[in-house]
Amino acid sequence: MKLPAATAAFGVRTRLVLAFLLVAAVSAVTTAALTYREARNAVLERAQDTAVASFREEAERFVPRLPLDREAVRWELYDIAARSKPHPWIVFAEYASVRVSSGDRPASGVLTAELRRSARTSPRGAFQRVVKDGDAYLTIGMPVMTRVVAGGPAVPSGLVLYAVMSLVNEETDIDALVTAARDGALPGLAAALVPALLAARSVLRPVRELRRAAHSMGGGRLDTRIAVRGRDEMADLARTFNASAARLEHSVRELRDAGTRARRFASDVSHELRTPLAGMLAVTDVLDEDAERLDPDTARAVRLISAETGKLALLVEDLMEMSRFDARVAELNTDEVDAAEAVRRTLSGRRWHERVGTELPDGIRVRLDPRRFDVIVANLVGNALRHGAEPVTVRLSRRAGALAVEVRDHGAGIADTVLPHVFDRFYKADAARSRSPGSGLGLAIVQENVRLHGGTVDARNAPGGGALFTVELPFDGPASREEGSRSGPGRTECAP
Amino acid sequence: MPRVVLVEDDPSVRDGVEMGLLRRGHDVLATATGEAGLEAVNTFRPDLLLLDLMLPGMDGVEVCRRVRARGQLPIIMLTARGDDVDIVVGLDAGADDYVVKPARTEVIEARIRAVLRGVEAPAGVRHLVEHHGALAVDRAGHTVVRAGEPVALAPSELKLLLFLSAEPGRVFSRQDLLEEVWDHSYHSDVRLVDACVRRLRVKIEDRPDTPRYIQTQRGFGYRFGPL
Amino acid sequence: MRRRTGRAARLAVLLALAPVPLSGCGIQETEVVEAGRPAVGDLLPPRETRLLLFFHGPDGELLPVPRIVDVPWHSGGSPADGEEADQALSPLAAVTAQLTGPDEDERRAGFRNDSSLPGTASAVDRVVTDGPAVEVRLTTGVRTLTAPARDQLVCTAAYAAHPKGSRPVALAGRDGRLPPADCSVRPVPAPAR
Repeated sequence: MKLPAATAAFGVRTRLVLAFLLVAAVSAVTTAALTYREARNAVLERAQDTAVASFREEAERFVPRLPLDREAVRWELYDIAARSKPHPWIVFAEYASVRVSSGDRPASGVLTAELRRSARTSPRGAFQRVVKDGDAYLTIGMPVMTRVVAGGPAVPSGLVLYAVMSLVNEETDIDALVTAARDGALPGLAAALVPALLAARSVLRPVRELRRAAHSMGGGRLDTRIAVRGRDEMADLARTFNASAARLEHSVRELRDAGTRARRFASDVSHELRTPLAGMLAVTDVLDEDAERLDPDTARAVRLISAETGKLALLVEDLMEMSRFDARVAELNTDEVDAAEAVRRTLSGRRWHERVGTELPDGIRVRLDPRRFDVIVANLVGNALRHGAEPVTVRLSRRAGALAVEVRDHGAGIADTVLPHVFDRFYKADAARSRSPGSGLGLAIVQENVRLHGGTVDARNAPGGGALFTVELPFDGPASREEGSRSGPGRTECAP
Repeated sequence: MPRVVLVEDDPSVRDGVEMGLLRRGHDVLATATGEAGLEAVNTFRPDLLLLDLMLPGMDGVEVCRRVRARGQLPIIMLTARGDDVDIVVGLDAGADDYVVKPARTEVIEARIRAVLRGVEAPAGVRHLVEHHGALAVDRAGHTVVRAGEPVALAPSELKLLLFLSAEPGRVFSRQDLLEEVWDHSYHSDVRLVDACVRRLRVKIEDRPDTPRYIQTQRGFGYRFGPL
Repeated sequence: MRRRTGRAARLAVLLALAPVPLSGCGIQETEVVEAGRPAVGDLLPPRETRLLLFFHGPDGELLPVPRIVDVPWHSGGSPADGEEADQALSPLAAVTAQLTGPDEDERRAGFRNDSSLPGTASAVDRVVTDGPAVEVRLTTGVRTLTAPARDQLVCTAAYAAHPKGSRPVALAGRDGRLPPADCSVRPVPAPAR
C-alpha cells in the first residue's frame, strides 16, 4: 500500500504544478535567452561599428611623417586616444619595426598575432574581441593606405594603427540584460504557480469528490451520487460512477429484499408449522391416558401418534432454530454466569448428573446466552451418551481469553471418513443404524450456537479412544472476537 | 382447581389446550379474540388468564395492559419462539410469566401452579407488617403500602418483593430468582426477571432511575436495599 | 515504484538542461573579423618633392619609403632648374638612391635592402626610359638577384617613371637582360576624401 506521505509528495497536484512550472520555466528561459542573445549582439555590434568607423576617421586624419618620428607620433596617438568614442582607447602605431603607443607600453598584451597578421596582409580594417584576465576588450587593426597620386589610388603605407578598447561598459549593459531576464523570469515562474494550482484544483476537485463518494458508498450509503459537471473525462467518470452505484444499490436492495423475504418466510413457516403442532401436542397426554381404555390395536395406534407427535415437535423446533440461523435473525441474549454452575444445571435438568463425569472448576465466569449454552452442552453430552459410550466426561478450563468445554466419551470414536462431516446437517454417521431420537440437526445447531457466540467447536478422536468435542467461547462474549460476532438484528445484552 | 380464561385465536391450539386443561380438572373458558377475552375476564371471574401474544384485532399486549389496569389477575403469556413481537413487550405490559408453544399440557399446568403459588394470602393469619423506608410490607396479608397509599402489585411483582425483602442486603442472581420466584429452569430467559424488576421499581421507588429498594449489583444480580 | 523513479529522472534531466541556453552569457571572444575598408591618407609628400624608394620591412614586406629631395623651387624658374628637378626625381636618381640603401632614420625604422642587391650606387649604369618601357641597366649581374631584390628595383623604377607605378621595368646587367616585370605593389582605388 502506498504511504500517504509518498502519495502526497508525488500526487496529481504536485505533478501538475511541476509540469506547469517546467513549461513556464522552459519558455521563460528560452525567451529570455534568445532575447538576451539578440540584445547582446546588438549592443556589441553597435559599439564595434561605432568604434571601427571612428577609428578609421582618426586614422585618416593622422598624417605622420614617414618614417615615423617616435615622439611626434606619440603625441598624435595621445590625441587620438583622448578623442576616442565611445570609450577611451589605447592606440598603437606600428611601422616596420617602430612601435609607439598612447599607453605605458609600446606593445600590447591584448593584440593578438592573428589581428596583426590580418592587418598587415590584407588591406582591410579588422577587429577582434579578446577576453584577458576576465575583462573583455575590442581590438581594432586599421592598416593605413597612402595615395600615390593626389585623389588617386593608394598603396599600403606599412603603417598600421591599432586600438584597444575596454568593453566594460558593454559588459555592464549586458549583465544588466541578464539580471533583467532573470528578474523577469522568476516572477513569471511564481505567477505560473497560480494557473498551475487552479488547473490542479480543477482536476483534483472531481477526484476528491469521487473519493468522498466512494467512501460514502463503502460506508453503506448506497444512494451516494456525484454531480455531473461539464462534458470532459471527469464528467464521464462521474456518470460511470453514478451508473455503477445505481446498479449496486439495486442489487443490494434486491439482496436485502430477498433476505427480508426469507426472514418473513422463516417466521411465517414457523407459525404455520407450530400452530397445528401446538394443538396436537397439548392433547398427547389425553391420548396417552385414554389409550388404556381402547382396544389394543387402537391403543397402539394412539400411543404411536402420541409419541410421534412429540418427536415431530422436537424436529420442528430444531428446524426452526436452523432456519433462524440461516436468515441471520438468531438473537443472543447474554448474561454473565458461572460456567460450572451452568453445566451442572444442564446435566441435572436432564438427570444425567449420575451418568456423566465432570471436571468443573468453580469461579470461571463467562458471558453467554444460558439457553443456547444449555443447548450446546446438552447436545454434545446427549450425542456422547447415545453414539459414544460411557464413561462420558465434561471438562471446563481456561484457554487464552476463552472458556474451553471438552466433552469426551470412550466409545469407538469417529471414523476418518465421517470426521469432516460430523457437523453437517442431517448427516448420520451410520446410515444403517435405526433412527435415533435426534433430529440429525443436533451438532449443526451446536456449531451455529457456538458461532453466534463468536467461538469455535471442533471434533476429533481422543488419544486413548473415543470422540472428543472441544468448544471454545470467548469470556467477554462475541464482541471480543473478530469473526463470528455479527448475528442478526438483535444481540441484546442483559445487565442486571 | 383454578379457573382459567384462555385467549387463543388458532382453533386447533385453543381446542387442544382447552381439552388438556379440562381433562386435568380446570374450569376453562376459551375465547378467540382479545375483546371476547376481556369480556370473559369480567364475567367468568377466573383465577388466571392464559393469553396468546399474537392476536388479531386487539393484540395480546393491549389485552394484558387492560387487564392489569383493572386488577392483579395473574397472566401467563403464550408465545411462540420467533414471534415478531418480543416477549419483553408482553412482560413489560404486565404479564407474570410465559409459556412457549407448542407445549404439553403438563408443562402449561406446571406454569399455572408456579404462578398461583404463594399469591393467595393464607386466611386467618395475623398481619405481619415490616417497615422498610416508606414501604410497609405485610408479609402475612400480602399487601404493600407506600407512604400511606396501598400499592397494587401484580402477583409476580409481589412475590419478587417478598422474596427479596425477606433477606435484605443479600444479592440474588437472576438465575436464582428465576428458579426461586418463578420456578423456571436455570436456562430460562432472564429478561423475565428484568422486566418484573422494572415494573416493580416503577411502582415502589421514589425515583425509578436511582432505586433504593431494589438495587442492582452489576454482574451479580439484585438485592433489597440497604436503605 | 520504478515508474516513479523513471519519471523523476526525466524531470531532473529536463530541469538540468534548462540553464544551458544561458551558458553563452557575457561577452565572448571572436576570431578576427574584417570590418570594412582601411584608412586612407596622404602620407606621402607630393610627387614633385620626393623619391619613392622600395625597401623591405623587418617582416620582409616591400614598403614604399618616401625620401624628400631638395629641389630648388623657383617660381618661373629657368628650364635649367626644371631640368635639375627632373634629374633629381628621375628613375635613375631613384634607383641610385635605392641601391645606396636606407638612410639612418630609415635604418632605425627597420628598413633594409635585399642582401643580393649590390650595395653601391655605382652599380647603376643608366636607366633608359623608352616610351612606356623602362630599362634599368646595372653594371653588375641581374640574374643573381633574388625576386625580392628584383622587385625592389622594378618598383622603384616604375614609380619613378610613372605616378601610379604602372610601367613594366626590364632589368639588364652584365649577364643579360631580364624580361620586363610589373611592380608587385599595385595601387588600389581609394575613396576620395
